[in-house]
Amino acid sequence: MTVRTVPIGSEVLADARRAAAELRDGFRRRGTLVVNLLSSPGAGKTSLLEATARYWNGARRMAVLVGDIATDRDAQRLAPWTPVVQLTTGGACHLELPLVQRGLEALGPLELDFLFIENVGNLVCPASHDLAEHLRVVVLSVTEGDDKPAKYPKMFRTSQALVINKLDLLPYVPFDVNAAVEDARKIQPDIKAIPVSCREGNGVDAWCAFLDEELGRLRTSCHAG
Amino acid sequence: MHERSLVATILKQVERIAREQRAHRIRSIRLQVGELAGVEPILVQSAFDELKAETISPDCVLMIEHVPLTARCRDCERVVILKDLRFQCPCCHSTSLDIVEGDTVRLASIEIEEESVPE
Repeated sequence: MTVRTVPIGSEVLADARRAAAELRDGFRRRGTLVVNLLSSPGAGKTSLLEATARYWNGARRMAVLVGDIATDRDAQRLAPWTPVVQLTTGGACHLELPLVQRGLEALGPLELDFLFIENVGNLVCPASHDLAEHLRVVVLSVTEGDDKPAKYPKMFRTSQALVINKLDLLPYVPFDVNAAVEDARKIQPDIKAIPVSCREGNGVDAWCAFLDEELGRLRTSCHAG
Repeated sequence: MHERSLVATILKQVERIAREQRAHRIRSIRLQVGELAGVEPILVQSAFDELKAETISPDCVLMIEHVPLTARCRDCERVVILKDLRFQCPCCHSTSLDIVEGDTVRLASIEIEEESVPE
């Protein structure tokens, strides 16, 4: 019997990463911006999507894949506004690419401007999974505390935008918007901060303008490449 | 939960490689876990100890190496180690950094046993 060392040196999630890159490129060529929305439970991902759909009122073609451990409550909330597929993970704390692919099949062929993937509420594990998105957005609500960017660095490091939600509650909670944004920028200097109140609607115009800008950028890169 | 599914993926990959190499047993697995991989080595180890029982090598050993978070600074162009997940160049204090290593989990190598081929 002989003993031998086999060098490998590959990333464990390399296959998933490759599959995500292919899917992302397919969406880019079709001119669809894929947005992965992440946050703690209850920060307002679904509310943001409702506010977005309400703001556009049919002027943009959007669809949503929404992940939860159990129930289709989020899909029920979004169904009056947009095509939506609920992904239930059966206990898993984050979405992975195969679930997204199954969701896309259930959604059927659609010509879209925006595909939103609402991840399972969790500031930890979803940060480690590429879901073929072009844009990763973390939603932080003021009731969670302004220390979250510093405490969950990977989530903020890998996001391109930070939506600060529930601004209407700011008078009642000790949350310093500037401190939160400053902490987030120490981790990710290029992060775009967008304060909103989904309940009252302020800031939703800036958020939607940002999405349009990102879509424009994607489509320019599409013509260039 | 995350660590468990990661270990299941690792074991599947390792078993496929061992089959291709015609190994009859896997002695050890060397894994490199980056500081920013989002993975806790203690949980990886305990998930491994539980899941390896179902593999061809229930006495296989997992060795986990820690990989520090390394970045290239866009301002001073040095390659630097970022301690305590602090995203600032320790030399010039710039925050314009590109991560070059330490944000992934890598399967470095495996040690296998194979039957000696009779001369």
